[in-house]
Parts: sequence; C-alpha cells; structure tokens
Amino acid sequence: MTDLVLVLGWFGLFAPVALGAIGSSIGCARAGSAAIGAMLDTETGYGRFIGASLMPSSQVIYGIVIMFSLQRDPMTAEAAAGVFGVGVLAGVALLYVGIRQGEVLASAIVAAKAKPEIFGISLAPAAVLEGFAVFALVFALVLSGTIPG
Amino acid sequence: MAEGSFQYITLSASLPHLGALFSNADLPMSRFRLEERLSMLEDEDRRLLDRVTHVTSWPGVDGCDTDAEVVARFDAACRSLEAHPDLAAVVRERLETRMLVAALRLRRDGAADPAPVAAWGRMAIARAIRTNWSEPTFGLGRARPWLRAAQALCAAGDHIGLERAVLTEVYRQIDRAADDHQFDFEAVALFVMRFQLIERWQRYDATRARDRLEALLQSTLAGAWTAGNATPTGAGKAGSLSQ
Repeated sequence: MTDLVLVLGWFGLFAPVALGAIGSSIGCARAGSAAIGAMLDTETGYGRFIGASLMPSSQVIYGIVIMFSLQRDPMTAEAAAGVFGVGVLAGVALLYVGIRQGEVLASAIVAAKAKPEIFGISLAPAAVLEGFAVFALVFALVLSGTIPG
Repeated sequence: MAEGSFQYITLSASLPHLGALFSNADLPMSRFRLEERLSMLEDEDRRLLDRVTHVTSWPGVDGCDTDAEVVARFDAACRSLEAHPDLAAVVRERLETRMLVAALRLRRDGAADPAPVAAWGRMAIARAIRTNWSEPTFGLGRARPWLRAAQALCAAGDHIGLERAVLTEVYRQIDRAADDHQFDFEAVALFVMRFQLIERWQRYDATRARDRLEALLQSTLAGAWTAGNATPTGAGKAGSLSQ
C-alpha cells in the first residue's frame, strides 16, 4: 500500500511537467501552423506571428516550477498524497490552458493577418488564459508549502 | 486530412480575407495561387472539394440536358458530404436558391402553370413552388426575405440587379455557415465557394455576354429550323436550373 502511495506521489510530482509539456506542444503546434500559413499570405510581420505562436510554451515552464516546489527528498507516504493531488490538478490546468491558448492564438494570427492594427488586442484572450495558468501556478506553490516533508 | 488537423490550420491561415462580395475591385489572390495553396489538401479531400465547388458553380451544371440531371448532381454531391453536414446544407441551400430564381424567371416568361417544376424532384422547396405558383414569393417570403426583392427585380426585368441580389444572398448563406468553421475542411470549401462567387462577379463582361447571347440565339434558331420551324419549349429542359 505504501509503495502505491509513493508511486502516486512520484506521478503527481512529474505530472505538471508532463501535462504542461503536452499542452505547450499542442498549443504551439496549432498557433505555429497558423503562423506558417499566415506567412504564406503576407510579406511582413513574420516575427510577430512566430512570436505569438510561442506563447503556450510558458505552460511547461510553470510545470517545471511546480515540480521543484513539490519535490520532497525523500518522498514519504505522508507527502505523496498531497503531491499527487496538487501536481495532477495543476498539470491538467496547464494542459488545458496550453491547448486553448493555441486555438485562440491561431484565430488571433489569422485576424491580425487581415487587419494588422488589431494584432495587440487580438492577443488579449490568450493573455487572459495565461492569467489562469498563473493562478494555477501560484496556488500550487502556496499549497506545496503546506505539504509535509 | 483529419478534422482539426494542423495542415488545415496552415491552409486556412494561408488564405486571404475575402471581405464583402462587392467591396473589392480585385480578388486578393489569383486562381493560380489558390490552386497552389489547395495542393496542401490530401487527394481524397481535394476530390471532394472539387466535386462540391464544381456542382455549385455554373460550369458544373452547364452540360446538363435536363433539370432532373442538375438536381441529381446536387443530390450526389450532398450524399458525398455525409461527414460534413454543414457543407451539405450549404449545397442544398444553393440548389434551393437556384430553384427559386429559376421559378421566378419561368413565371416572368409567361409559364401559366408549374409544370416544368415537376422535374425538380421531391424537395420541399419544389413542392412549395408548385403549390403556391400564383403567389409572388411562392409563400416563402417570410422565411426568405430576399425573395421579395428578387421577385420585384425579376418582374422589372432588372437582370443585373437580380443577379446582384441572388449573389448577395448566396454569399450570406456561405458566410453564415463559415461562422462555425475556421480550421477544417468546411472552412476551406466555403472559402473556395466565396472565391468563385467574387470571381464570377468580376468576370462579368458586356462583350462576352453579347457574344453568348448571339450564340444562344443562333443555336435556338438552328434547332427551330431543324425541327421544321417548331417552337422550342423549355419544359423540363435545362433552361431553368442550369442557365
């Protein structure tokens, strides 16, 4: 039983990185595909499109920060349950934000291609989503301080 | 290509914004460039796209001998779009629009009864036209507000105005469907449909129209002479849905 709890602890420890990486890769791939398409249709603004498409990459960075804050040496059965709960839920949040950010960024890139003056404001929905990921990060850090070990 | 695939995102993002139908003097990209971009589609998707866009364009039904053949082509296109119901709805709506305009023209040309409409199949719109032949908008004015203006333009003989009203309505139908699709097969197909409409409007040329009218007159007269000076009739022939 203790071994299973420890396994779950390690699972929760790495979950923010793994799920954040999946979210970031899907989000960046979606937004990046739109950026590549937009570059075919425009003569300028390539850097802006590629720059915007990289925005979802922050999710995996948040995941790494959460992992370090949850790390316990050694991992104990008392700490494992908390690490699992916080880690998995934070990872799911980062995964979802990464995917959705890719979608809104792809839309923003397409819109900004047709109307360059709205580029800045078109990034607002992605920035709001980023804010939700920051919430998940900050409160995961707060809770990690209360986990024993 | 799978639904929501990254290639659809790239392809959709590479297509320019077309804007409103009559707002631009020029197309934002050439047909050559469009074909180049569409080469990103997989073969199966490309064949389906060609089938859909072919049947909704005038050349796609130009060779049809009868209205029933035109309806059959539309039906076949809709059947091939089982996986894309929104696109099938646009194709069906396009046929309905074509039926309504054809019926307006038939009635304006003096058809006293809806006999030619019998060849248009068992679609609800064809039934409505047959049932309400004497009503100005075939009893469909409430559901299709554009029909009232189209009927007035048709009755006044304003062909360009009618064409403009019909193209505006078709463009609106496509726009409405496009609201729900941004990075998928439907988005690409709807873009090509809009592109075709703008291309068609911009290709209108008075000289070519006169040449075509003369050619049609000559072929009609030749047909009449061959048939022993018999008056050619249009009932059931492709004088309605494909012209």
